[in-house]
Amino acid sequence: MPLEIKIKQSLDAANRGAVTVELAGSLDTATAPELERQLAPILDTAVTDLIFDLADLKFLSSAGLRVFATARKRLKERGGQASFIHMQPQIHEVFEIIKALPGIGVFKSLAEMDDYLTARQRRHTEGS
Amino acid sequence: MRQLSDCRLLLVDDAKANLDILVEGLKSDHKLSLALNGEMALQIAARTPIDLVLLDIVMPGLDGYEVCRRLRQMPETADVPIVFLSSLEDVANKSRGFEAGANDYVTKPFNLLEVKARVRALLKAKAYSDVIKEQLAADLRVAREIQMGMIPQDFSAVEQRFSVELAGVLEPAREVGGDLYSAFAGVAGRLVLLIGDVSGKGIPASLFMVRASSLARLLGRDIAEPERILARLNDELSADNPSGMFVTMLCAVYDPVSGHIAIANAGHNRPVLLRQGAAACWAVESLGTALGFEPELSFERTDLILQPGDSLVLYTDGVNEAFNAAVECYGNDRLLHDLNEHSSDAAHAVADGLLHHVRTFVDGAPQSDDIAILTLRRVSQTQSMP
Repeated sequence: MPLEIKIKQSLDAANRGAVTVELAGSLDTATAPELERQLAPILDTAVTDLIFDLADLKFLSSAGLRVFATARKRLKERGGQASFIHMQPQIHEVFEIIKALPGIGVFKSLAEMDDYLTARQRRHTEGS
Repeated sequence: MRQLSDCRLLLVDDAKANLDILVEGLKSDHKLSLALNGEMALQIAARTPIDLVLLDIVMPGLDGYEVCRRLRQMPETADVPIVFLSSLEDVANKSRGFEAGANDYVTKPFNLLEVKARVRALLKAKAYSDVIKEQLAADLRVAREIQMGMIPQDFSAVEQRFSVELAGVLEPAREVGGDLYSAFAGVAGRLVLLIGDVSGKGIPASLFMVRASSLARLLGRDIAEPERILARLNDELSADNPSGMFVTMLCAVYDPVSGHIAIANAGHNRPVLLRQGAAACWAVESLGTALGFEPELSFERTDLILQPGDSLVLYTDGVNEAFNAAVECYGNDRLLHDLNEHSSDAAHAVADGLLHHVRTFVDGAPQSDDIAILTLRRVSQTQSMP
């Protein structure tokens, strides 16, 4: 099964600087290198929040988890995080082994994630 | 490396006059086999080792494109250089030739010197790639020996000392793999069990596996609590881990006197508890985070008593995520269901039985992931150890 990758810069004022990555198909040993290659230039910018929309992701292997975990590490270093929305049950199961890591957020919907990011931004603004 | 003069060329052309010219030009440089049509060419390729094919396109019966495709499907000629020799000069024909699997395309009328030069270049490239493949295969064979040497083959000493039965199965999907298990004496007369699965496959996974396994054995000899063994191992593995590799691991520490077993999980498949007269069930509910991502994580611990005759079955995801030809997954439900059959079996019968169930399920579909199974059984009191 191939992997389709769509990368979108978010224009939503609530989460400026966020990039959404939609994944469809299978993220496995065969397809993970391509995702890694496409994420590299984004991770090299100042982007703090990556949002992975997994609504159409059917299969996730440990090679795919490694790509997520690497992105998480880079974002966390600059105070950001990797967020995951619309996770299918079978993906959720595989995700268990990284979901407790700092720098990872799992949300049911975009709305739930927006609330979180807005609250975080407010904390930042009030704190400064 | 093979001499170019030892290489056999298969010349395929329906015009005998063309073959005569090629034979005249090439016979002093290489061994030659001749075919006047596509069917004949395929028959020769099936029974004679061929090093390069010079192939006409327009022929009665099978055309050159089809012959080329079929040669690519035959294991004997899957990566033998194929050169089209054709009067079709269109770019479309050339590109169709390359799509069919050709390495080169020379248009007729050809210059014999050019054909000879291209044949030599392709044969040399093939010879280099063969040498590299052989070196890699030889290196991998030795790497496999080293790796398999880290996996215990004979548990008899441990079995006697701790009054248990132990059985292990390890089947890497490739020459080297990322699965590991171990059983060794720990602190204060306890037995330490480990099973792990490194992300990815092949050489990178096997290197990380060797690192994780060696460190785990050292830590397991000094630390009595499995959750602390995993926490320390995680700190070590995440300290220098530029490639972001990780390993899921289950660690159990067993006290042979009381039958008490403490289990901690770092993102690994949940082990199964087999108890006579009871349904197979998870021995541990928590999954926990895998090792190598982030230092200073903590891990949960589960405490159980193994009664005489009880078994604990540890395995890697090559078992529950084995796929059959219909791309169905073996899955946790089948795993628990099939293990029910083995609740009174000896440890080796449990491990072999589970492997048999998985093999029956996949029914010959190629193995995509490493498979490891480790079974611990507390010996029943009626059974006397030798």
